[in-house]
Order: sequence, then structure tokens, then C-alpha cells
Amino acid sequence: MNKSLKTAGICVAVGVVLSVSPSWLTETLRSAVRDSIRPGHASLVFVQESAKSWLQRLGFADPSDLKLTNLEAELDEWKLRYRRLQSELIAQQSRLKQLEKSASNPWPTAEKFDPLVISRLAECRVLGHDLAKNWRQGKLLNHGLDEGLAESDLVLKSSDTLIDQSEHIQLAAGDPVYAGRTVVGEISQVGQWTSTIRPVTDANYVAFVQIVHQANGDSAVSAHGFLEGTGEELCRIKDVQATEYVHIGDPVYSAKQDSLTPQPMFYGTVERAKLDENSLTWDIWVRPALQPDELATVTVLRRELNPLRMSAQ
Amino acid sequence: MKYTLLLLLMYFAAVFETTAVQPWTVFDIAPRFLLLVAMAAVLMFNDWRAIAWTAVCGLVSDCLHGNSSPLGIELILACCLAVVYQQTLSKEKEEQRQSVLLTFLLCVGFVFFVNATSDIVRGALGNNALDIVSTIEWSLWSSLYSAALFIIGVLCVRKIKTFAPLSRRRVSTELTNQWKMLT
Repeated sequence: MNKSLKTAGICVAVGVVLSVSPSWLTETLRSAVRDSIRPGHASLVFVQESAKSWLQRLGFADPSDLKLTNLEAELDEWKLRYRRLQSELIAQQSRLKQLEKSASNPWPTAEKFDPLVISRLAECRVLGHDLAKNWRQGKLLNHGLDEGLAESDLVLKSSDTLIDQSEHIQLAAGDPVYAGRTVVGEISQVGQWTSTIRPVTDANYVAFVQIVHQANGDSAVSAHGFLEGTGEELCRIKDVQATEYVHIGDPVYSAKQDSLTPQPMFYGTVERAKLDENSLTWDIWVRPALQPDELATVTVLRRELNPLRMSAQ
Repeated sequence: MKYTLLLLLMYFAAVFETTAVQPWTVFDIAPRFLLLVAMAAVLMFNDWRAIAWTAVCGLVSDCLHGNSSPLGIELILACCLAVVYQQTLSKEKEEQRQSVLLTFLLCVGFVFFVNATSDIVRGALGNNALDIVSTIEWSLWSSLYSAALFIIGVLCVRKIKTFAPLSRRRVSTELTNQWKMLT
């Protein structure tokens, strides 16, 4: 028992010394103990993860995981809805500006006439990789050139994504291609049977765009510039002044609005933004929201002469 | 063997006490595994080794709890209580020492005293606003939960011990000298 008391006395003395020891010593001791239990933590996490995956494999899904999946789906839905509302808001803002400009019109309301050019949307199916390959190799259309059924060489030689509509519905090169409210690209070649899509990432693609900044639940156009394809997975926006506000994650919309495309269409989000020292413009990279080969159908906006006007002539 | 076991228990106790995900937490009350290991050492040894192990557990617990508070609070408290327990238990008979109820009460007292006192001392030294009533309440629930886990562990060990001698009881095939002399 004496030995116990002696040990207790020594331990208490050690405790007292430690309690008045300098902070560097206590910190060193603390760090050493905490570092030594780190492998134990790592093993425990590994065991927990393994047990979780085994339970999932056996069909015992964690209710919190299910809840998380549902919440993620709900979030995606809300994001889509938010983007649509944002697009409408920008359109309304520009319409308001236009109305403010024309409000001071001193003449009585002008009579409305039919427009000369009207826009129509055509839904087209995207030919999948295998189908497009067979088509280009002539396996689907082998009736011969004599009957005039051959496809245009430009279409066949192109490696761009194919759609199943062409000149018979008056598609023309440069017609914008959309998927919902998202810009996919434009028509590059129109053949006799099929057409090709030039994606927004194509090096020859150029469009005038606007970057929208969201702050405190409000959206406002922060900058305008030219979106160019780079031939890689990201597009680039040029000619955005260094004085403009650009943030990573800002959505990019089309800026060219007219009577044919009344609402801005979505391109993607800002992935990287760099402002070099002494540079007058931003270097902005945008990740497109969609690629043509990810889609089953797309819509092409056609512009054509109004048949009512033609018949009136 | 006992030292290895205690060392392993102490390591796992330290890991379990500081891990981020604690599935064993009930109503925000977590058991104090390190103090349970100290308690096991007190029951395991009757001499100075119990005090030494208790001191090590207290020091590790000091290192893991609190970032700016001084070290040694739990070490001193655990050592003092271990000496008191040893003095008390040495007077008891072996049967009484192995009583489940006594072990439970000792465990509750040990965890409660070290936990509550160290929290109050740390709060007082750090000039932090401390709600003493809620600290005591939390320590009491924690000590009850810890003691319940400890008793489950003790019962499991006792059950295993009752099976162990059966395997050792092998029938000897050799004839003893006594038997040879008799026959």
C-alpha cells in the first residue's frame, strides 16, 4: 500500500508540474498524443465506410442517404426553375427598358402589321454514334447516285453530330440549335437528308453573350462579351472589360435579343476567370451546359418569310 | 498480457472519444471510455500499477480534452480517487469486491467525480462562463451511461472466463505414480 501511495504522490506531483508547465511543453504533449491516435481515426472511418457500403449492398440503405438523394433531385429541379425565372427576368428587364424608351412616343399607337420574317422551331432527332457512322458509310442509303438520293459530301465528311432534318424543312447554316432553353450550337452543314450541328465548343463558333451576376437573390447583367469555342471542353469569353464584375459560377446567357429570339438563352456557367496584371480585359472560361451528343432530340430555330405577307403580295 | 490489453483498450478509448462520428452517443450523452479503462485498471490491480495506469489514462484524457486548459487536472483527480478506491476495496472481502452493484456504483462515482470536477476546474481556470448545474447533470448522465457499458463489459468478460477453464480440462492419459503404486 505504501508503494501505491508513493506512486500516487509521484503522479500527483507530475500532474502539478504539468499544470504549471509552459505552453510549448503542453502543446507538444497534446500534439504527440493527438498524432498518435490519428491512424486509429483513419481505421475507424474506413471500417464505418466499409460497413455502410456492405449494408447498402445488402439492401439496407441508410435513410439519411435516401433523403440526401431526394434533396439533391429537388435541388436540381429548383435550379432549373430558378434558371428559367432568371431568363424571364432578364427578358422583362430588357422589355422594360425598351418600353421606357418608347414611352415618350408622341404619335398615337401605330397599327400592327404582319412581320416579314417569322421564326419557327423544328424538333430534330440526334443520330447516335453508331447510326451516324452507318449513315456516313452509306449503309443506310445505298440506292445509288442516279436516283439523286446521295447525301451531301460536306455532311458526310464532317465529324460533327448529325440530326435527321435538312433542307426539306428549310434549315440553313447558322440556325441556332437549342435543347429547352439551353444553347447547344448552330447548324453548320445542311445536306439532302441530314444536317450537322456545330457545338458551342467548336473553334468556329462565336456568339454575343451576357454574364449575369446574382447577389442577395437579385440578378443583374454584369458584363457582355463574345463567346468563342476553343475546340476543347470549355468555351472562352473575350472582350469583357476589366472594370466589370465577373464571378466563378455566374450563368452566361445569349445577349442578342430581337423579335425572333425574345428571351436570352442559357449557355453555361463561368468555370474560370482570370485578370492579368495591366490587362484591360478578362480571360473567362465557360463550361457549356450541354453537348449535342448528350441529347436525343434538339430544336432548331428557323427563320422564314411570313407566308401571309407573301400571299398578300 | 494484461498490459497489452490495457494499452489496446486505452488506445481505442482515445480514438472513440475523439472521433467525429459517434454512433454510441445517446441524447448527446457520450460515455467516457478513457475513464472506464482507468476504472478497469483499478479493479484489475491491487497495487501501485493501478495508480500508474490511472495516471496515464488521466494524462491522455487531459491531452484530448481542452485546447488551452492546463494539463494534469484529470491525472490528479483520477490518481486521488484511485488511491481512495484501493484503500476502501482492500478492506472488503473478495466476494463483495466482485459484486456487480458495487462495481457499478464505483464506476458511476469515478466517472462522475473526475468528469464534473475537471470540467468545473477547467472552466474556473479559463475564466469561462460555466453552468455548474448543467455540467453536473451532464456528468451524471454520462457516468450512468459509462457505468452501464462498463458493467456489460465486465459481465461479458466473466462469461468468457467461465468458458475458458473447460478447454483446459483435458483428461490426462498418463498414469500417475500414485495410481501405479495403488495398482
